[in-house]
Amino acid sequence: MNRPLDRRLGWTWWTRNGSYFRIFLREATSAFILAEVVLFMLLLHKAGQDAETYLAYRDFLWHPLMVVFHLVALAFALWHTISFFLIAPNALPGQVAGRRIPAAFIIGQQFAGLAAVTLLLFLWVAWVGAT
Amino acid sequence: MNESQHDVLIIGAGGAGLRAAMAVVEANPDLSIGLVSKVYPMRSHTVAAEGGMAAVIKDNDAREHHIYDTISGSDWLADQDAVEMFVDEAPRELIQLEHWGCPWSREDSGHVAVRPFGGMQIERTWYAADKTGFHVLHALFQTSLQFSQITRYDEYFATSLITADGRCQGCVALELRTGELHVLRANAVIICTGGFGRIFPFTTNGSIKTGDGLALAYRAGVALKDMEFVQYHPTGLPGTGILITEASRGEGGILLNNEGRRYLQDYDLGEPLDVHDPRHPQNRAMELGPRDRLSQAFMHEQAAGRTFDGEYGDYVQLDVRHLGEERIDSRIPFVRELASNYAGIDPVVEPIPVRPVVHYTMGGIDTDVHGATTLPGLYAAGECACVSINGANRLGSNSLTELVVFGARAGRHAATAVAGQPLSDGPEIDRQVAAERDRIAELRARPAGGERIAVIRDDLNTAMEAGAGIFRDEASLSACCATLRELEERVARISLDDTSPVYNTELISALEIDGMVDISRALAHAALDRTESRGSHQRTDYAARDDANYLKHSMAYRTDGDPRIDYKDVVITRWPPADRVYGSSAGKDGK
Amino acid sequence: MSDTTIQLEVFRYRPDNGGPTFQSYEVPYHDDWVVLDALNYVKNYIDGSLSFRWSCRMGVCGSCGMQVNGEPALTCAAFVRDHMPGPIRVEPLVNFPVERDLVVDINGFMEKLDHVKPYLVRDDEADDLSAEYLQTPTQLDRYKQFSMCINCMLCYAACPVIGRVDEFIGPAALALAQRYNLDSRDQGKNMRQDVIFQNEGIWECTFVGECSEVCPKHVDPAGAIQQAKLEGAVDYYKRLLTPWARRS
Ligand SMILES: Cc1cc2nc3c(=O)[nH]c(=O)nc-3n(C[C@H](O)[C@H](O)[C@H](O)COP(=O)(O)OP(=O)(O)OC[C@H]3O[C@@H](n4cnc5c(N)ncnc54)[C@H](O)[C@@H]3O)c2cc1C
Ligand code: SF4
Ligand code: FES
Repeated sequence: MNRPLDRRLGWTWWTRNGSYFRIFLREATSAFILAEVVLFMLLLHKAGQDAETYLAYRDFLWHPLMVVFHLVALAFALWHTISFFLIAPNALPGQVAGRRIPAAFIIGQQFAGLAAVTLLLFLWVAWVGAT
Repeated sequence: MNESQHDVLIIGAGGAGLRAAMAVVEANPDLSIGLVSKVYPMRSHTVAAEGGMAAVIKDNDAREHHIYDTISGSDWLADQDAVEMFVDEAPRELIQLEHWGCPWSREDSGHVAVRPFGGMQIERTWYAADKTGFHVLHALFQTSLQFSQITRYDEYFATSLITADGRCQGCVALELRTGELHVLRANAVIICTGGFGRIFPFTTNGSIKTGDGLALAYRAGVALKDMEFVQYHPTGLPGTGILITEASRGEGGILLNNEGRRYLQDYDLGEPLDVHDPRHPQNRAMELGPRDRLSQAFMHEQAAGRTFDGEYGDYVQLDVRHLGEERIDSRIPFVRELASNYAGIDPVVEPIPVRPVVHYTMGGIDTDVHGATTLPGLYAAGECACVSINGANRLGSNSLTELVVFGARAGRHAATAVAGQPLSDGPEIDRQVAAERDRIAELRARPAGGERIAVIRDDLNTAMEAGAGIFRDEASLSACCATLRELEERVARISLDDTSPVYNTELISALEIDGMVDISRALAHAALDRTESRGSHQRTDYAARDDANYLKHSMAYRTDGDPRIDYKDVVITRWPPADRVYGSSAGKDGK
Repeated sequence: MSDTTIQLEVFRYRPDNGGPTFQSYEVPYHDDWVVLDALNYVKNYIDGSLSFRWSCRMGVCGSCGMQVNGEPALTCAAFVRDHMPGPIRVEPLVNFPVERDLVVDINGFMEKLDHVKPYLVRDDEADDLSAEYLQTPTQLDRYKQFSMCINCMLCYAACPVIGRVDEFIGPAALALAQRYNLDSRDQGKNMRQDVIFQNEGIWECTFVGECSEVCPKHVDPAGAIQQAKLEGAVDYYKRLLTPWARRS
C-alpha cells in the first residue's frame, strides 16, 4: 500500500526556489572567473607575438560588449569573495586559547588581507612600469 | 498477522523507556529488547523538560535533606522506602548520564554545576542550561544506538496488552506507516508511555501525552494509583501553555501581582528579600516554594482581583529583568527564546505574563519499587507509573531523576525475571489478537457522520478543568463524573474522515481519546472519594488534610460501570506526617 | 475571535488513492497562531484526513518541519501573521520521499545519524560511576552549539547537495559527528572520521551555508561541515607525508 513519492527535481533542482537559484548562480560565477583567466592567459600569449596581433587582441578586450562582460565578472568575483568571507568564521573552530574569536574579527582580517594583497600588486605593477 | 518476539518489550522511548532498555542490556547482554514508540524516540516529551534533574552530589548537601524535601513536598503521601532508594540511586544515575555524554552545565573546576529549585532546601538540581530534558533524551537515544540488542519499532502505536496464563506476554501494535497490526511477544513488558496532561485544556504537555499506557494497564486489570493528584505549574505562558521553567525562579526571578507586590509573602511562604540581596533567592521560600502552593496562591489572588487581565485569561508577572542580559542568556536562554517567540516580549526588558498550567500527573500505574505491577510480567516506569515518590505533589526536577532511577530498576528486574520462561501459545492469545483486530476494524468501518474526535476532546478538556481543576468540591466532581459517563458513550460513536491505512493519524487520535476518557473517569472518581485536601488535591468542601482517614493511596480499578476506588496504606519509615513548613522559619529537614 | 480568515493551500497525497494535489482550506485568522495551529484547526474541524506530525508545539521536538511558502520551517514556530494576507502554501519537506500528505520518510535520515556513531567512545575498560568526568565551561563551549540539534531536518530540505547525492550524510549528521569529536570526554574521533570521509557527498558541499541559514536552533551545520573538511584534508596530507605514522 505504501508508495513513497519522490519529489526530487533532477537537473532542474536550481529552479525550485529562490535560495537554490542563488546557490546555483553563486556557483556559476566560477565560470566567469575561469573565462577571465583564459582571456588573461591569451593576453600573455599574444603579448609574446608581434605588435599587431597584440593590439588587435587588446582592442577586442576593450570592445564595449567585452567591457560589460568584465564588469559582470568583476561583480561576480566580488560577490563570491565577499559571501565567502562572511561565512568563513563559521568554518573555523571557534576558540583560541579558550576564548571565542569574534566573527567580526575573522571577517575583518580577511578583508584586510584582500586589501593588502591588492595594494601590493598595484605597487609592484607601478614599480615595474616605472623602471 | 506480523509477529515478532523479544525477551523484554518496552512501550515508550522517552527518558524512562530508553534508560530501561539500556538497563536490560547491562543486566544481561544476551537478551533481545523490543522498543516500541508512537513517535521517533527523540520526539518523546522528555525533550521538553527544561529546568533540571535533582541528585545529591555537593558537600553541603546530604541524602537526608533530599529525602525530607521529597516527602514533605509530597504532603506525606510518598512511600518512604521508595523515596530512600530514589535518593540513594540518583547520584549514580546522573553520573551515568554524564558518562553517556549529557552536556551538563559546569563549574569552573570542571565539576557539574547545580541550581536551586522549588521546595528544595539546598541547591541540588543538575542542569544543561535550560534544555535539560532535551540533552538528556538525546544523550540517551544516541547512546542507545550502539546496542544491537535493541530493536526499535518507531511509529508503532501500542493498542492493547496480551495476557495469558496469568501474566503479561506482549502487546498488539499498529504500524503507522502501513496501518498493519503487529503482535509483539515478550516475557516481560515495561510501560514507559509518559503522563496524561492532555486530558486538560491548558497544559505544558505535548500532543503525545495522552496517557495511553495507563489505559493499557487499567484495561488489563491493574490499578491506577493516586490519580486525583495533578500538578499545576505556576508559570505557563497564557494561551499556549508553554512552560517558563522554575529555573527562572531558581536563578532569582520573582512573581508580582497587579499591584507590583510579591504576593507569595501573603501565603505562608516566607518573607521576601530584596532581589539584590546576596541571599536571594532563598531555598524553600517565596518563589522557591512548592508548585501546588504557588498555583493555589494564584487562584486566591485572582479571586481577590489582583491579577492582570489578558486575552487568554488572568495572569501575574514573572520578572527576571534584574538578572541582566548576560545571566539570562547563559542560564535561561530558552526562556528568552520562548517568551520572545510566543509571547512577543523580551524578558530582559519586560516581565513575562504567566499563569498556572497543567504540567505533571503524579498518579499512574500502581507499581512496587522494582517497577513491577500486580500483573506478573508487567512493569511500568516514568511519568506513567506511580511508585510513589511524588505523592500529592511532585517537586520540580525530581521527575527526570525518577525516569532514570526507576527506568533502570524496572529494566534490571524485568531482565532477571524473564530468564528462561517459555511464552504461552494457543487459542487464548489468538482470541485476544482477533478481538483487537475487530475493535479497530469496527472503528474504521463506522459510517460517516458520527461524533468528531476534536469535539469530544474539547468537551473532555472542559469537563476536567471545570470539575477537577486546582480547586474542586463535591458538586463540581459529581458533575464531571456524569459528563465523563456521557463522553464514554459518545466515544463509541466516533467516526473517522480518514479511510487510508497509511499514516492514519486520525485513527490514532480515536484510539487515544478512547483511553483518555477511561482514565479521566478514574481520576474524577478518586478525587470525588478523597474527602480531604492534600498537596495538589484541594477540596474547598474539605479544606484540611485528614491523616486519620486518608494517609492512603487511592487505587482505581476498572469495572463495567463506574471505577471502583480502593485504598492502600502509605509506607512510612522514619518521617512521620508533620506540617509542611516553607519560608525562612523552616529549619533543616523540618526541625 | 476575529472574522478575518486566511487561505491554506495544503499538499495532499494518499498513496492508495491517486497522485498528489493541493487542497485549499479557509481557516480563522489569529495573530498569535502559528501555521501548525491552522493545520490543527483543519484537522480538528474541517478535514480529519489531513496527516502531519507534531508534538511539542514549542520548537524542541523537531517533528513539525514542512515547507511553508517554499521555505523549510518549523510550523510551530512559523507565524501565520508573517504570511498575511496569504494564501499560505504548506508542503512536505523537500528532498525526502513523501509517505502521505505532509508526512515524509525519515528512515534514511535516522540511518545517517546512526552512521556517525553519536555517542562517547572511551578507551577505559570499565565505567567507574563514582565520579563525573571533568569538563570545564570552556571545553563545554567548544561543542555546545553542535549539541543543540533537534533533528528537524530543515537543513536537509535546504541542502541542494542532498537532493542530488543520496549518500551525502548531510548537515545535521555531520554536526552531530563534530559535536562528539569536539567533546573533551570523547576518544572516538578517528573512528568517526573514517565514516565521514567514506562517502563522497561531503566534498560536493561548496560552502553555501543554506543549512545554517534555515536552522531554527543556530546549530550552524555548515560550519561543522567545513571544520570537518578542513580536518579531513589536514589528516589526509599528514598521512600522505608521514605514511609510517600509524593512526591509533
Ligand atoms: C514542559 C515540561 C518541562 C519539564 N521540566 C522538567 C524538569 O525541568 N525537571 C524534571 O524533573 N521534570 C520535568 N518535566 C517532567 C518530565 O519531563 C516528564 O515527567 C518526563 O519527561 C516523562 O518522561 P517519560 O519517559 O515517562 O515519558 P515521555 O518522555 O513522555 O515519553 C513517552 C514515550 O511513550 C511513547 N508512547 C506513548 N504512548 C504510546 C503508545 N500508545 N504506543 C507506543 N508508544 C507510546 C511515546 O512515543 C514516547 O516515546 C517537564 C515536563 C514538561 C512537559
Ligand atoms: S542542524 Fe538545525 S536544521 Fe538541521 S536538523 Fe539540526 S536543528 Fe534542524
Ligand atoms: S511541534 Fe515540536 S518542534 Fe514543532
